[in-house]
Amino acid sequence: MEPIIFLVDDEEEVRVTLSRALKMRGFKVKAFANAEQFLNGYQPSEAGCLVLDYGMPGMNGLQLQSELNRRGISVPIVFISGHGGVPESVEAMKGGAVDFIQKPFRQRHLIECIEDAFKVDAANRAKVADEVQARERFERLTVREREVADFMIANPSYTTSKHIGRELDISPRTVDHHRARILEKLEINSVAELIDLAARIESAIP
Amino acid sequence: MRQSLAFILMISLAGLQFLAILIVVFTTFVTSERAMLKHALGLMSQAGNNATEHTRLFLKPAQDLAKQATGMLTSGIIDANDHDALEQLLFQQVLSEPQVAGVYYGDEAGNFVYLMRSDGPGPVRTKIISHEDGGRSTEFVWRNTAFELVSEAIDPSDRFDPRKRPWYQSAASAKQPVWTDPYVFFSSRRPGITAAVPVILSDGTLQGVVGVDIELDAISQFLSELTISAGSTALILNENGEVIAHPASDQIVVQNEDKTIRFVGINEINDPVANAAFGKLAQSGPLAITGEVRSELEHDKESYLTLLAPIKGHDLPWTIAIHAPENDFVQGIKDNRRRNIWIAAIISLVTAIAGLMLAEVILRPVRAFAVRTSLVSQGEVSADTPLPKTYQELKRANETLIHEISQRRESEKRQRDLSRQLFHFSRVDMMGQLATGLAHELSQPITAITQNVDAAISTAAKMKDINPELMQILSELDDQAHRGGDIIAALRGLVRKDEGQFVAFEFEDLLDQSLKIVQHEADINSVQLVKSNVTQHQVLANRVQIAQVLINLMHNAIEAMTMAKTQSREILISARPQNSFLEVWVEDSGPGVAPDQPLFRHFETSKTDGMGFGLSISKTIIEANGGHLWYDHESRNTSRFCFTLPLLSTGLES
Repeated sequence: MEPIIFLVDDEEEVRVTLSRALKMRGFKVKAFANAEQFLNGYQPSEAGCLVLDYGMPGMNGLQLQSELNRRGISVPIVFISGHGGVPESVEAMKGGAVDFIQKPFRQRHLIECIEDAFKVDAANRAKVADEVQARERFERLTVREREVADFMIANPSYTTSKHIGRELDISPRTVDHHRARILEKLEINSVAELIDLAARIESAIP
Repeated sequence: MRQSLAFILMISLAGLQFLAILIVVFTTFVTSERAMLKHALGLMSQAGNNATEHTRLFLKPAQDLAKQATGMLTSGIIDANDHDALEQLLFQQVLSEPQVAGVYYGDEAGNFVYLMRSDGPGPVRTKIISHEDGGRSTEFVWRNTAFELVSEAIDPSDRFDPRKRPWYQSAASAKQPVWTDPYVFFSSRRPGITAAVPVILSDGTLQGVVGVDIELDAISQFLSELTISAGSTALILNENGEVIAHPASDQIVVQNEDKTIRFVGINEINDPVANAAFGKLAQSGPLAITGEVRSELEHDKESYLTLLAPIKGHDLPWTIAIHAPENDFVQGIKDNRRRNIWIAAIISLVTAIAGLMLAEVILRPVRAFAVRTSLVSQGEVSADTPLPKTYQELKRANETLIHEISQRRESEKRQRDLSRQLFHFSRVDMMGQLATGLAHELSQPITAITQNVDAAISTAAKMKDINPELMQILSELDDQAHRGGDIIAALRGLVRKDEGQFVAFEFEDLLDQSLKIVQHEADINSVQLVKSNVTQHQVLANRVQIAQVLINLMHNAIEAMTMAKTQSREILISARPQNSFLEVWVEDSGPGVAPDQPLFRHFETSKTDGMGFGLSISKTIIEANGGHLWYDHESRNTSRFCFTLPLLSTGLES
C-alpha cells in the first residue's frame, strides 16, 4: 500500500502549496488545518508519516505528538516550524520525532526526512506484521505442545527429549512426537529457529 | 504637627488655669461678699445700739439732775423761794455735765430761775423772774465758773411765763417726770429737749417744775462721729418723721414763713439716700418701730444697706436710721476680685509660656524622630541606625514603621527591577522582536513560494520539450527564495539570546507586578483591573517577556474599551492549570474582535496608531516560551485572549 503524507498546518497557503508540491513529486498527501481534524480523520492502518506544523492555535504540534504517544499511535513525525526554537526541537526529538526543520526549507531536505519517516513507518509496520504472524503460528499449537515449546524457549540448554520428559513428567517418545508437531506447525526446522521466532513476539511469551 | 501640639498644650494649660482661678475667685467673692454684707449689717446694728446707748447716757444726766433738784426742793433742803440758794444749786448743775444747756425751775406763781451756758460776758447766765408784791421783775446775771459776778442786767420787757411753756404743762399734768418733744429752744434757738420733773409737796399739791435742757446738737455731733463706713450716715427721727439729729446739724432746723422755727422732715432734708430709704415711713401716720428693720436699697445705681431701730430704754418715741453704701463694705472684695482676675490672667499667661516651653521639650525627641523617619523613608538614612533618645511609644511606632518601610522598599525594588527590565527589554529587544516577527511572517509566504517553485520544477521536468531557460529561471527562483529563507533564519537568530534566561517563578507575583505597571493607565481610563481565580503556580519561562505580554494584552484591552467608549470597563485576569500548562485568560468588557479580523499578524492592526506588532510579538514571545497564544472567539460576553505557559511540574505529567 502506498504511504501517505499527513500534513497538519494552520497556515492555508503553506498547506495548499506544500501539499500540491508534494503531490507533484508523486506523493499521496492528506492535509488537515489543525490537530483536532487530524485526530478525527486519521486511521492508524494507513501507512505514511506526519508532517506537522509546530505553532498552531488550539492544540500545537508538541501537544499533538504527546497525544499520539498517549494513544499508542506510532506514526513518524517530521516537524516544520515558523519559529524554530532549540527547546521546542529538543522536546520534539525526545518525543520521537524524525526531524525538526524550519520554514522555509529546501524541498530536498523535506523529501529526505519524509523518506526516512516512511522507512521508519515501514519498519514499524513490518515488525508489527511479523509479530502478528508469529503469534498466529503459536496459536496453532495444542496446550501440551505449547507447554513443551515454552519449556524449550525458556531453557534453550536443556532441549533433549529425555530431559524435557522428566521435567514435564511425560515419556521421551511423547516429547519427540510433540517436538515434531511443533516444528511442523510453526513452519521451522530447528529449536534455534523456535527461539528466534519467540523473540519476535516477546509479548506473546507468558 | 509641631505647631498644633504646642498650641493645644498652651491653650489647654492656660485655659484650664484661667478657668480654675476664675471659679475660685468668683466663689470666694460671692461667699465673702455675703459674709461682708452680713458683717456690715451687724456693724450697722451695733452702731444703732451704740447710738441708742449714747443717747440714753446723754439724756440720763438731765433727768437725774432734774430729779436731784426736785428732791432738794421737795425735802425742803432748799427753799424754792430762796432764789439765791436755788441759783447756787442750779449753777452747780448746769456745769456738771457738758451736754446740759440749761437748768431751771418755774413755780405755780410764775417765778422762774434759769441758768444757762452763755457765750458772754460770763460763761453762765442766770435769768430770774420774780413776782413780788404783785410786781414782776426779770433780772439777768452773768457769772464766771467760780460763781463770781461778771455782769448784771434787768429786762423789763420780758414776758416769759414758765407756766405756759410745754415742758411745764406736760410735767404738771402728768405729775411725774417727762420728756418734752424736741423743740427749738426759745433763748438759744437751738434744737433741744427738756427733761421736766414736777415738784409735788407731801400734800400732793404742785409747787413747780424743774426742767433740764439738753441741746441735741451734741447728739448730731455724736452721730457725725459715729463712723460705720466711709459713706454711712446715721440720723434720728421723731415720731412725726422729723429729723432731730443728723451729722449735718445745721440742716435740721428750718424757718417757717412766719419766722418760727421747726425741724426738717425726713423728706425735705438734703440727704437723697435718706429721702429714698426712709421718706415713705413718715407718710403713713406716726412712726412706730418696735424692732430692728434691715433692708437694702438701690439708689442712683448704687446699692445701700439701711437699718431702722427704736431707741429703747426711754419713753422717747425716737427711731435711729442708718444708711450705708454697700460698696463701703464690699469694695475691697471687688477690688480684690479684679486684682485676682488680673493675677489669674498673668498666671495663665505664664502657664501658657511654660506649657509652650514644656511642649518644646516634649516635642524635641518627637521632632528628631520625625526628621529621622522622613530621612529613613527617603533612604537618606538606614533604618538600622540607632534611634535617638525618645519615648517608649515612639520606639514602638518606629519598629512598626521600619518594618513597613523595609517591606515597601523591598516591593518597590522588585517593581523597579521589573520596570527597568521591561524598559531594557522593550528598548534592546525591540529589534530582536521585530526580527522574530518578520521572520515568522515572512517564513510563511516564502515557504509557499518555494513549494510552488518546487511544484513548477516537478511539472516542468515531466514535460517533453522542456525549455532549458525556463528550468534555469525556476532553479534561480528557487535559489533566491531560499536565500530569503536564509536571511530569515539569520534574523531569527537575533532573539536566541533570551533562551538562556528561562527561570521558574510564581506566576501570580509577576502578574501583581505587571498589574501595578498598568494600574496608572487603567485609572486614567476608568478601567477596573480584577484578578480572579489566580492560584499559586510555578511556571518556567522568561519573566520579563511574560510580563511584556501581560502588559501588552492589558494595554490593548484598555485601548479597545476606551476607543469603543464602553460603559463598564473591566479587565478580568484568571489562570488555571491545564495539563502541564498554566492557561491564562485576559478578558475585557470591550466590543471584542470580529471573527474575520486577522490577529497576530505583523503590520495588521485596527488601531489608528501602532504597527500591529503588539499581538504578533506577544504571540511570538509566548511561543518562544513554549506556550501558545490565541483569541477565544467562543467567549460570548467578553473579549478573551488566552495564552499558556509550561508549568514547572511537568515531570508529574509524564
